[in-house]
Amino acid sequence: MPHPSEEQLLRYSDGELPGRNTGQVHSHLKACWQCRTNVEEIEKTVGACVRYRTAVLQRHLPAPPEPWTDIYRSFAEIDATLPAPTFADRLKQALAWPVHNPKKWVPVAVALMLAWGLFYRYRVTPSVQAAELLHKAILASDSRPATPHLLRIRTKVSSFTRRAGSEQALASNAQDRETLNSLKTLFQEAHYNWDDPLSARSYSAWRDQLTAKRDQVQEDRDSYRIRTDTESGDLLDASLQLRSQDLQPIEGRFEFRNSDWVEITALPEEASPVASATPAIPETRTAMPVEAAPSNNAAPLLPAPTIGDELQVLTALHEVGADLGDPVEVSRNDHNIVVSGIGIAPERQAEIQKAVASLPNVAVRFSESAPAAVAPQTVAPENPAGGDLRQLQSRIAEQMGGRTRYDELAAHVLDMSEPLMSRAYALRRLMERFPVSVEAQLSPQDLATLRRLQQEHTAALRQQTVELERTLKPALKSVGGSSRASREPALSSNAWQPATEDLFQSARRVEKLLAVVFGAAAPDDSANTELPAQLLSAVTDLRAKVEAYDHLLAKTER
Amino acid sequence: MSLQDQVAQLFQESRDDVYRYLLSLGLHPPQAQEAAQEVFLRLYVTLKKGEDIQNPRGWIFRVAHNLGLKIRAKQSTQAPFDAELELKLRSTELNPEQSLLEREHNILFHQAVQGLSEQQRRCLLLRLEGLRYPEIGSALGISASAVGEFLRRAIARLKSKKGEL
Repeated sequence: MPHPSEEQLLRYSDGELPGRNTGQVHSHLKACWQCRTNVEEIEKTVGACVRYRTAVLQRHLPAPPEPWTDIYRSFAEIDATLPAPTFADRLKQALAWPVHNPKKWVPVAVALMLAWGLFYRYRVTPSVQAAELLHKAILASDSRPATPHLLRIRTKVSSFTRRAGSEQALASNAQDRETLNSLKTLFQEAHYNWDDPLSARSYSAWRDQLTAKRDQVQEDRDSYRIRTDTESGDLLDASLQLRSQDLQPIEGRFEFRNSDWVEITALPEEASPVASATPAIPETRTAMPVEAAPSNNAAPLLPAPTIGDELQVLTALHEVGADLGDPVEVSRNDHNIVVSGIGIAPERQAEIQKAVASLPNVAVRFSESAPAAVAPQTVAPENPAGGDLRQLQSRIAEQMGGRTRYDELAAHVLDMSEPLMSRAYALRRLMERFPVSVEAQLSPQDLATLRRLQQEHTAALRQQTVELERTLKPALKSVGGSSRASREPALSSNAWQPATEDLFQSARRVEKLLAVVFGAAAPDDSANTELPAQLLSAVTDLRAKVEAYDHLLAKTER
Repeated sequence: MSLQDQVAQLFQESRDDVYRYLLSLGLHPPQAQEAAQEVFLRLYVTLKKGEDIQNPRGWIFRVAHNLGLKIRAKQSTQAPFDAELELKLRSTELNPEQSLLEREHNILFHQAVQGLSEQQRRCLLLRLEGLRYPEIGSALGISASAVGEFLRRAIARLKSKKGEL
């Protein structure tokens, strides 16, 4: 697995990672000095916090001014005010439990029934269903002419295309060959046929040799998905998606004991993109159906989702605020729109699921932990001008009437910067999803929806910026801060896409300066005496940009 | 153990923690003490009504948080309580056994905690009281994943400050 993120390491230390992820991180830590050191650093900081609680908070916060009251007396007073149950009530209660108290036994009974149902559904029936389905798929496959098909193979780090049965990737370079070789070894060691991995026969052969396994069979509108997980062997979890109309495999996913995963998708011959192994895996939209249908009477496949469909999903997520800081991503492929989220709480997952439930062709995938490699540690650099900055902060504190007031202000404005940046990021994500060429494909109705989303974010951003400016001005003016309005036009372009980037960069500058002035980050080379003026100017500039942006959106709406 | 004994034991164990948490919300000591007692009595009433509370300590801090904010909102004209911890930490009389270096260390760490955003600090304080992420999330009205993110930021900030100490 790649290096766990800092949040994963903290969750690991806190015992807040789900079981499976804990095992993965635990194994990773055994092997990785760097991450182990990071965990030790976290533990040291946690230790410092615990000492702070003991040595500072417990010791120096004032003791309660009065002796604690006798709580039993208060209990007695409460008991006196609550109606006491009569003998008849108590008798009734005793007799009522559990038979006549549905609140007690109904959940138990329902749980038992559900447990039996789930056992039957997932342990008994699915195994038979899976075996039957695979058998039928093999027969269907045998009746088709044997034409080697193209496969798109995705792993954690690369994506490429290969022909089934071939040893080579279509665009073969050294990296592709190396990846293919390692995948071949991985599949062979798991006793899975690498020559033809996306086939019912290969899946069935692997499944049959497992000593213990659990199957699930899920029927969707146009496909069946068989999933098998096991504790034996190197391949722990595999799934195969079969198209309903001809039981042809269209997608497979394989998760290995070493935490590697591989996704294989069948590609139509005509539309096969010749991808090379690159870390970034852009989803390409294919005009052709998933795979050329082998028979003349094959039913037409569902049309690929459009950018308008994607916008609907974005709108639904916006309605529940899932575009403001939740680690949710939306992507679109030939079959559906994928909403993926990482490390999201179950309740929030349910809200997001519900938000998109009524929309067609939406696949929601949540994973418990961030798979991305950890970003380099951003430790604040040594600050040669730290003393000056402390002086500046002391001056602000002095003007405000004490350190406590300053700390409150610092906490308040730093808190304000978080939702402000969430809006700026949300606008930027819309810009990235809707460049000019994509926006041109939107219907007038979709365009109006997009504008509404932008305007809602802009209105919130505007309000937050005004509030921030109002909060900062009195404090910073007292230490020589004055905003200098720029003579340049607020936005560099009349097109909203580049204007969004302008706006985003302006918000980033405000965030950075806030962090420096209020002690959350180290300053750059600029003189600290200018920081108040720089910050106020940056906020004024942001406000001007937000207003101009709002105006620009209104113009594009006409 | 009777219900009264259970709540009384929890009161004995946790009342000072709840009281200090309420001080951190800006309640003045008399209000904080009164509110802390109120929280345990609410727990008693709730349990007496037959409600099932899986984690009473988590429940207590959630109720304390909400009650504390409500009291602060009603008294918004009054300045929040300031324990002047920094002054106390500087005092050699209050810390006779501490070296200058230890005092300086405590002051700087205290400043770093005060420099956290409000949400980060609240998450940190509740975590220090032993609450799990979902319980903190429930107390603060945010998701457990948001708690993880706030705590990560808090630890990262404190870690960088700790490096300067």
